[in-house]
Amino acid sequence: MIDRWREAFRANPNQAITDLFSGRAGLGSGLRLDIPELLYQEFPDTPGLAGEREALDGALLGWLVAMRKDYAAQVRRLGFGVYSLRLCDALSAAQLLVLPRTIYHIRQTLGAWLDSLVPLRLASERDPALECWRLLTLR
Amino acid sequence: MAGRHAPTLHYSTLSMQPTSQAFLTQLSRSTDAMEASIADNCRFDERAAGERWAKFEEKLPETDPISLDDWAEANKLHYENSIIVASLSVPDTFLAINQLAWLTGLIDNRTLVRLECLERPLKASARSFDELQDLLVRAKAGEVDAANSVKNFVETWNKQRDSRPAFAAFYDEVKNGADAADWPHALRDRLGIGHYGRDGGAPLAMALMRYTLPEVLAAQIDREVPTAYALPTVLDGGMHEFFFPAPKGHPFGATLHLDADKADWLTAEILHRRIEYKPEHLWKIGWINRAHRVKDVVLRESRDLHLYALRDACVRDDFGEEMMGRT
Repeated sequence: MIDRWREAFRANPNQAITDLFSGRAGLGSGLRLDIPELLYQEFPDTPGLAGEREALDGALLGWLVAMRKDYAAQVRRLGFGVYSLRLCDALSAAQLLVLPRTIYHIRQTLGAWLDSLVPLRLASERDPALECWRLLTLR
Repeated sequence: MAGRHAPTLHYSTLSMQPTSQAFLTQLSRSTDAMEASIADNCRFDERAAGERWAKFEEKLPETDPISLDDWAEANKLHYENSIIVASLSVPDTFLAINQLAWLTGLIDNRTLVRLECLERPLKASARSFDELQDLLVRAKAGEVDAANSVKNFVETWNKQRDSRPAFAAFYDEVKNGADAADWPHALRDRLGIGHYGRDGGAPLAMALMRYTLPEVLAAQIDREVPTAYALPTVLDGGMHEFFFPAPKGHPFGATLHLDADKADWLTAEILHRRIEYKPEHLWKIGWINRAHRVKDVVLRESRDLHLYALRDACVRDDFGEEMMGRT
């Protein structure tokens, strides 16, 4: 199903990323990795994939912004723990792939992000604000 | 070997809602081998209790019929809520709801091995693979600074790890693969970890972890968790084509080998509670940089070979259903 998801991504990156986080991208071994490692493996930093990595950067940032904007409804639907986990996964993916647009946006609007992310800390590995800081350590 | 079985309902599914039963029955007839495999994992699993399926079904929409997308979404939500829980929580795997699959009596001193992906810990520690490799070599040679750096690396990594159940195998059983020069691919294939390695994908830095059963048991006593070990069920991360539930009576889980000719090897696997890694657990590091070849017809043949081996091992001709020739 990972091949199907890649086709879906080429057609509509935003929807494909939304489906990946929601689980509607499908099942199977290819989708079993945690999202940061899955995206890292799928989008290596090679010249042939520069366009797709750019699309991924935009789609991931769009997903993050939408999740923050839709905080109350998402927490109600997913629960606090899963909402926090998914944000951590997105921010970890941006670190692993070093996605410049996402990093730039977070850096420019850090205060607003931290205000909303700090209360979401559940543990050292479920701390979206910490993942934000880690993201900003990347050049 | 037994003859073909009719597409009847199987074990776990008997406690499910009719809509779930109908969905799985239909999916098991899919011409897509992977989809049929996922349905079979749900249908054949004899260790996932009805209460666990009820909890899974709470995540499904109240629609009829259920779609594959609905099932996949419910699976992810259930997995995130109940299995890959934060480090201070306990996954359902080791709680009373999963008592049917608890593994008791493992009191010997056997050694476990487990593959881990290192990409996130390397990034968090701002270390490259080569730097870590160098530190490990120098630490082993007795250099104190290098040993301290490895310790820091492992401590940072521990802080990134959640409380998910850890799949592990017995070192004495997989020694050939673990001791091989190309241990990352040998163990990936032997243990059926098909999600590592992708043609055209980024190579993944991997670690081979090694520790003992008493160390796992000590983690259980420390945290007063009901059990330290469990047998893998489809609800513990087995909703994929390279998982195959073992029947009741089989002492462990049984991995599906990614070399089709060896799919009848029943390599034991267990799930255990999270342990804090120590530097001495980090045995060696390497790369996975190529895919395996098990899909479509090869997948169907491999799963059938594995099924026959399980039937023979457990003297259970009634277990499961062959994929080849299925209509």
